[in-house]
This record gives sequence, structure tokens and C-alpha cells, in this order.
Amino acid sequence: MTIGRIPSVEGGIQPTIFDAKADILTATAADTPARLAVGANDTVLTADSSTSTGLKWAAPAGGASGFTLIKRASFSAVANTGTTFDNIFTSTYSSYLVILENFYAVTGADDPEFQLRYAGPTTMAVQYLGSTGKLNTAGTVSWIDNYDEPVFKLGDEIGDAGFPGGGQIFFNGVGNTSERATWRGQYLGGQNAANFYFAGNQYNAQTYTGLIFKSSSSNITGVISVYGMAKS
Amino acid sequence: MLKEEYPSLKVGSDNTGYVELSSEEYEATINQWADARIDKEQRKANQEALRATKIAAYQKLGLTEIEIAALLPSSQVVPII
Repeated sequence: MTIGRIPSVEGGIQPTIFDAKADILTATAADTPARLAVGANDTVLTADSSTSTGLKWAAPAGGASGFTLIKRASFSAVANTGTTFDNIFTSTYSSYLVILENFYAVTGADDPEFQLRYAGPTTMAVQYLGSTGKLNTAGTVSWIDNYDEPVFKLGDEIGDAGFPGGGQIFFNGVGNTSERATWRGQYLGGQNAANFYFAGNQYNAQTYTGLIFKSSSSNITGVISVYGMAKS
Repeated sequence: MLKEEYPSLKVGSDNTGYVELSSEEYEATINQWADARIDKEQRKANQEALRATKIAAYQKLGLTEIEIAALLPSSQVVPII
């Protein structure tokens, strides 16, 4: 079927208004038709009052996940990551997720540990309280002492280069006001793939702003990502 | 031994760069590491000694290996692997 004109009650729009495949018909004002050329592949038509046609082609916005990546850092064979994870906790969020990837030490039987940091920054090196359980592949259950310690131990087998560990920790009570920080999470480490599960708090209230990760007695390697979780 | 293994120490990341610890920070870190290794070895030795003592006592009572394993706390049972 060939159509020479688009019927209109009054006047009509000339087919020559279209110049190319996928052109669309719009208007720049009342009674003022206009052509809008197609956008780039995978873009979508979006309202934009600042353009002459009131439309634009734009990349579709991703759905909000509720998680915002605050910091991601990799480190190799260092004593600790103290210069890396300052100023990650702020009043923007009240809950944080810290992911530990490919985490290991020169000595795989070392303890993976962290300490909190606050204004200064100063490292809090006393009175970490909590519990860390260990379940190994043989079904053996044991525990790691985490009562009134200078660091918090995520486990007692961080893993080595051949069997790296990894885990996740949720933090609350950090970054907003002076309060006792709390955390809970899980770590997989060691040649025997031990499953460590833990929860703890810091007895001394501070406005905590950062973290140091370390191994108990050798250099560590790994990648750490810190996410803030939307309050609403 | 630790000082031979780590003549110097650094902190930081690939993103922000690395900074070598000062001599004071180095000494403090090495001392912490040494204490941690000694503590860990001591804890392991204590746990093994306790386990051996318990097993010896159970054996004197005439218990079988299976019965002894059942009586030991799970943390003192030797893993299969």
C-alpha cells in the first residue's frame, strides 16, 4: 500500500518531513510538527523540556539497587591497609557491606583481622568483643577467642595464595555519631575451606570512619569493596 | 626470623600507592606479629596437650577409640582430612 499523505482534518503533513529510517513525528509547539531522528542503538525516548521537541534519546537508567559502591581497592603483600580504608563510613548511610575477595596472607594459618578507625584517623586497638565460630569440612566446630581483644579476628585461617579466602561483613553504628560499632558476617578461609561466622562490637563509642584489614603475622593480599546501603 | 622474612614493610593499595613503614612503625608491627605467632603456637600446643591428656585418661579407663572420640569435645576431634 502506498500512502502519499497522512490524512489530516486540516492541511496534512507532507511525507517529505521524514528523511530517514526510524524518524519519528513530534512537535516543537502547538500546530508545529517536527521530525526527530532516531537515536543511537539501545537508547530510549525520554522527555526533556530543554530540547526543541521536548524529547531526546537517552540511555535507559538502571534500576536502583540500594547499594552504592563507596570504595574498592586492591592491595598486594602489605602489612595492613590502613591508608586505604579511611573515610568510608559517613552519615550518608547507616548500614555498610564490606566484601573481601581473593584475601590471603603469606602464612595461610594467620588470623584475618580488622580494626576500626576514627577521627585523626586513629586506630582503635583495644576492647573488641564478640564471637567467631569455626566449622571445618570434617564437621568439627570450634571457636576463636574474641573477648577484649586489640583486633577483631574474622577467623584463624586467612588462606594462602593457592587457597585464598573471602567473606562479607555488615557494619552498623559507624559514621553517624559517637556510638558502639557492631558487625556480623562470614569468612571462608584456609586450605580446608573452614567456614567462619562471627559477630561483634567495639566497646568504646566513637564516630568510626574507617577500617584497617590485616593478617596476624604476615603480609596480606586482596581486594576489598565497601558499599553503603540506602536508608530509604 | 620475621625480620629476615620482612626486612621492610609497607601499607596501602594499588589505587593509592604504597608507603613504607617508619622504623618505629616497623618495629611495632614486627613485634605484634611475633607475639601473634607465639600466642597461636602456644594455644595450639595447649590444645594438643589437653587432648592428649584426655585421651590417655580415657584409655586408662579401658574405653575404645570410638568411645573416646565420642567423649572428646568436637574442637578436640582430629579432622578427617
